[in-house]
Amino acid sequence: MTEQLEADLREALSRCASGIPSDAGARLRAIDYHPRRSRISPRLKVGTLAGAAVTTGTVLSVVILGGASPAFAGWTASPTAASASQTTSADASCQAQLASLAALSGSADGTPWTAVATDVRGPFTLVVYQDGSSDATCLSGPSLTAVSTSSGSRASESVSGSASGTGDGSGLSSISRVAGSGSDGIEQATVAHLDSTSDGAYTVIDGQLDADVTGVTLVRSDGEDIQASAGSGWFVAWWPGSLDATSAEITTPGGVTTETLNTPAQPPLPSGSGSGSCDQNSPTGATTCSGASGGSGTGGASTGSV
Amino acid sequence: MTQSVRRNQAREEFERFVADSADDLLRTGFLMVWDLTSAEDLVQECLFRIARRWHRVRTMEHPKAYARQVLVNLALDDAKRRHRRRSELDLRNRPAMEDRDDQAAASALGMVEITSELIDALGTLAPRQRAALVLRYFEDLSEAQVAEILGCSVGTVKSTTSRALERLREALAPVESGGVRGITYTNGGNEHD
Repeated sequence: MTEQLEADLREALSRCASGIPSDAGARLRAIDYHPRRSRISPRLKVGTLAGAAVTTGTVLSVVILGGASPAFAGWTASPTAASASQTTSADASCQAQLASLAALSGSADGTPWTAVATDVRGPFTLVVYQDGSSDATCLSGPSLTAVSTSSGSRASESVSGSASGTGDGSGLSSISRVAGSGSDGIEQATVAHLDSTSDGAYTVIDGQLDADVTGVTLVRSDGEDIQASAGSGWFVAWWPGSLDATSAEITTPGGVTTETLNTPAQPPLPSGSGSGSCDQNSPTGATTCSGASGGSGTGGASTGSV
Repeated sequence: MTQSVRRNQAREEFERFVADSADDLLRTGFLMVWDLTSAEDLVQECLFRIARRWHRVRTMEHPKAYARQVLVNLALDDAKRRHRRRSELDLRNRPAMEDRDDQAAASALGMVEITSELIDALGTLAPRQRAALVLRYFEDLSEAQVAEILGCSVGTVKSTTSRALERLREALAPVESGGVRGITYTNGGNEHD
């Protein structure tokens, strides 16, 4: 009879559940569920999620410049359709650079990089990668291939970057932090300002989204709308120049909401420096950066805090 | 109130939430995936997701119910990825009933045998069927609540539950040679061999 079966089923489930060792629950309670997500260089992340911890990771970046061409010619404010050959070629270049970077830093462990987000604007392809413990972004185009990786733990973080190139200067420009208004939609976002002499400065922003977000449009400080590539819990966009995004329009099935993005003053790195590093001190949030020459870029050092 | 203070408060709330709900989530997860290690992984992932959304989850009327919904969906997604385990789940991690303190009393009532058979039979169900049963008969949720969690209609919950129960009846039916299965469910109630 169904009632008897149901009663026995309740009993069976209850008995089965009660037999779970108590140390299993203790293990779960002991976990810190607020680890900082390791992010992309050369930048520090401030999650827009309330309560997100300020933590650290190690970041390395390499920028390799190709021949001179009009600055980011062909870039568009909205993502464009990508040909298979373009994304395949970009992925191959990026994977090669990531492997070189890992070898350079001595961190190569054979873990493959998986693309989690791709943004195509004309001839430029920006890919966000993850390998389980680290993140990476790679911007490839006719004039450059720029790769940066980030990894770290919650306990401490040092952020460093290096760049080399065939141009007369390339590399890190500055580090920025983006703090959101904490509304729904964007869970965390980071922004990076980079510079290459061949194409000039460019800005990359990416982040993670709530599952129900279907679109993100960033409003730049000059009022221009930049449509981000959004999907699979990620959004990513970039644009020539060093202007910041001031807000994000987030589209969900329930409508469009606007989240304010606050980018504090940036600790500058020397213009055209080939390498640089930043450390973010938790819990003070103070950021100290320094730059050094690398590749064919100019050298120098500076310190700042945000 | 400063942003830092608000952040600390939210974090403390989340830590209390974890302390209060981790065991319950683990029980539910275990009954769904039938593997303690996998259940721990799922609950861990669930709580990571809740942590990222805590600014929103904390304002919900029933954060625990939301966490359970996340967990169930994670478990079902995991089952899809590993569907080879659907029909033959690893029962080695099943808590040992023989170690229960009340084994003697339960045995006197024939409960150990019934429970053991039922647990074995549960392991043969499809993940979605087992999820429906766990939510209905372990969590004691209504059909409407189960439907909301599984993202389906109440009618689908009824049919899924009905098919799952029928499959349990079939699994528990005596084999021809007798003596292997311990219980038969008939319209007149259960009969022990």
